[in-house]
Amino acid sequence: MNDHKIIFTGPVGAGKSTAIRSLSDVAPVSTDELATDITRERKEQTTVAMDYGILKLDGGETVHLYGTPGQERFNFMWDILTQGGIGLVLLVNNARPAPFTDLHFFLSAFEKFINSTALAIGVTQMDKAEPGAPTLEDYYKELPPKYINTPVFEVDARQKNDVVILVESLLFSLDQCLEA
Amino acid sequence: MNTSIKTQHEHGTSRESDVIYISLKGIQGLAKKSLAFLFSTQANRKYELVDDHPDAIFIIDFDDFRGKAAWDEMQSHKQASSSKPTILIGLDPINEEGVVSLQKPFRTQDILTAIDTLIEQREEQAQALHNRYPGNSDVVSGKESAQQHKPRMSSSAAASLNEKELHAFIGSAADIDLDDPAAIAAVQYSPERFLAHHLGKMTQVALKERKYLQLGCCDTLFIVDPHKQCIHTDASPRSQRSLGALPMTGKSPAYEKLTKLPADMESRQQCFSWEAFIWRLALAGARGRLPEDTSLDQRYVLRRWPNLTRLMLFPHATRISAAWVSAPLSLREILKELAVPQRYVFAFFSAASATGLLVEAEPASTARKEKPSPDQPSQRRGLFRRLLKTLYRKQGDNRA
Repeated sequence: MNDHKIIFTGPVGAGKSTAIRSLSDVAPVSTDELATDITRERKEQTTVAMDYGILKLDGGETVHLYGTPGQERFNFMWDILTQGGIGLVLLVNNARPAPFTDLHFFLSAFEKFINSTALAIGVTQMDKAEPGAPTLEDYYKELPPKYINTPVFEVDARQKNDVVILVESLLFSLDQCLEA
Repeated sequence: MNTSIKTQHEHGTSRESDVIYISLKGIQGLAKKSLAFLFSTQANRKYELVDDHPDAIFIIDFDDFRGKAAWDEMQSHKQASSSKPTILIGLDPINEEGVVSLQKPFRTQDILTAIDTLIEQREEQAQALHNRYPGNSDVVSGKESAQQHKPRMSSSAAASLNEKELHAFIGSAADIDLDDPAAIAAVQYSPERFLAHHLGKMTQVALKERKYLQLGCCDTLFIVDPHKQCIHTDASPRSQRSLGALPMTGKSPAYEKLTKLPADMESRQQCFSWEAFIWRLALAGARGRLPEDTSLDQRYVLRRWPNLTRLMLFPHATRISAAWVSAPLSLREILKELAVPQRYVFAFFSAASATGLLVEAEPASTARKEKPSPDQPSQRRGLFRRLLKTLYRKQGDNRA
C-alpha cells in the first residue's frame, strides 16, 4: 500500500509543530529539545529533528505529515524528506524581524521540490506583528513571478480549519479538476 | 381582525418567543394576502399578523392614505413610538430617519431582510440596555448576554456557512439555461443598489492613495483605514448581513477624505478586515446572483487568492479560487469546467468582484500556468479525492 506525505516547513516559531498537531489523527511525534542558542529567545523548545503526524484516509491509506526542523543547521535532511512528497506547506512568522528573508530562504531551499509539486503559504502571527508589518498583498508582491498563483493565507496554526484550508488549496493548486 | 399565520419552526418546535409580530398599515386586499402567504412559507420563522402588539414590527404603505395616516399618528406620538420598528414602503424614495424604507417594486427577500434588520436592531438595543443595567435579567436573555461578551475581533477565523446561512448568503436558485437571456436576467442584480459595491470602490481608492476615506450610509459610518487595512464601523457583526442585503434607496452615497481617524472611532477599536467585511456584505447583497450586464463570455482572472481562512466560506470556494487564479476563464468556461451549481460561482463572482480581486483578463495574458488537460487526469487524483474527503470531515469536526 502506498504511503504519501505532505511537508511543512518554515522558520523557528512559525507554527509547524502546532499545524501538524492540529491536523494529525494521532498524537504527533515531536522531537523538540530545549533551545540552547538564539532560538531560545523565541521559544523554550525547538524541533531539532522533525515533527511527524498522520492523516488516516478511508480505505486504510495514510498521508504522513512531516515538519522540518526550524533551525537551518539541520537542513541536510530536507532533500531526503521531500522525496515523493505531495506538496509543500510553508509557514512564515510575520512577527519575525525579516519575514521576507525567511520567505526567500525557504523558497530557494525547496525550489526543486516546489517546481515538481505545489506550494501553499500560511502567514502566522499576523495579529501580533508590529504596525507596518507586511500584509498579504505585500507577500504576493514579494513572490517570484513563477509562484504568483500560490495561495497565501493568514493562518493561526492552532486552528484546524485554517490548516485544512491551506492543505485544501494545495491540492486544488495541483489539480483544479479535482472534485471532492 | 387579527390574521394569524403560524408556520412550524425549523426543527419542528414553535416557542412563543420565536413569533415575529407584524402589523400592516395601509396594506389591504391582494397585497395583504400576498404578504400573508409570503410569511406562511418561511420555514425557519413564525410570523403572526396583528393589528397591534407591543413587540410588533410595522409595515406601512406610504402610498395609501390609511398608511400615511397611521404614520402621521405615530409621528404625533413620537416620544412613545420612537422605538417602534417600522418599514416604510412607497413608490418614491422615502427619507425618514430611524426607519427602514423600501422603494416599490421590491423583492420578497428585501422585506424579509428588512424585518431581520429591525429584529437585530431591537436585540442590540436590548443588549445596550442590559449593559447599562446588568442586573436586570428581564432586559436580555442569557444567550444574548453570552454573545455580548464575545470579543470583537478585527480578524476572525473563516466562518463556514450552515444551512440557514447558506440560504441567506447564497440563495437557493436552481441552475439556469445560459443561452436563455430571460433566465440570465432573472439571476442578475444591480450592485450599485447595495453597500458592498460602494464600500469596495472606496476601499480600492483608500488603499491606493493611502488615505482615510469615510462613507456614511444606512445610519452607519464606515471609515477605511489604509494603514491597518481595515474598516472602522460601529455596525455590529450581527447587523452586517442586513446592511449588505438591503437595497439602498435614494442617491448613491458619496465618500469623503479624512486627514486622520476620528478619536471616537479609534477608541472603539472595532476594525474589520476590509476583505472579509466587503466579501460578507457582497455575498449578502448578491445571494447567488450575478451583477447585471456581466458577460458570460468575458474572461476574468483572480489577481490573487482571496484570504479564504478569514472569509465567509461556502461550498466550492477553494476550487473556484484555484481555477480562476490559474487561468483567465469566462463564467461559461468555469461553469463547464467545474460543473458546480451556478449559484456558488455567481456568489463567488460577486464577492470577488466587489473586493477587487477578480478582474477582467487582458487579452494578451497568457503568462499563467497551464492547467492539466481534463482528458489527462492527474495520476494522483484518486488519492487527492480521498485526502479532501478526510479534510472536509475534519472541518466538520471543527465546527461541531
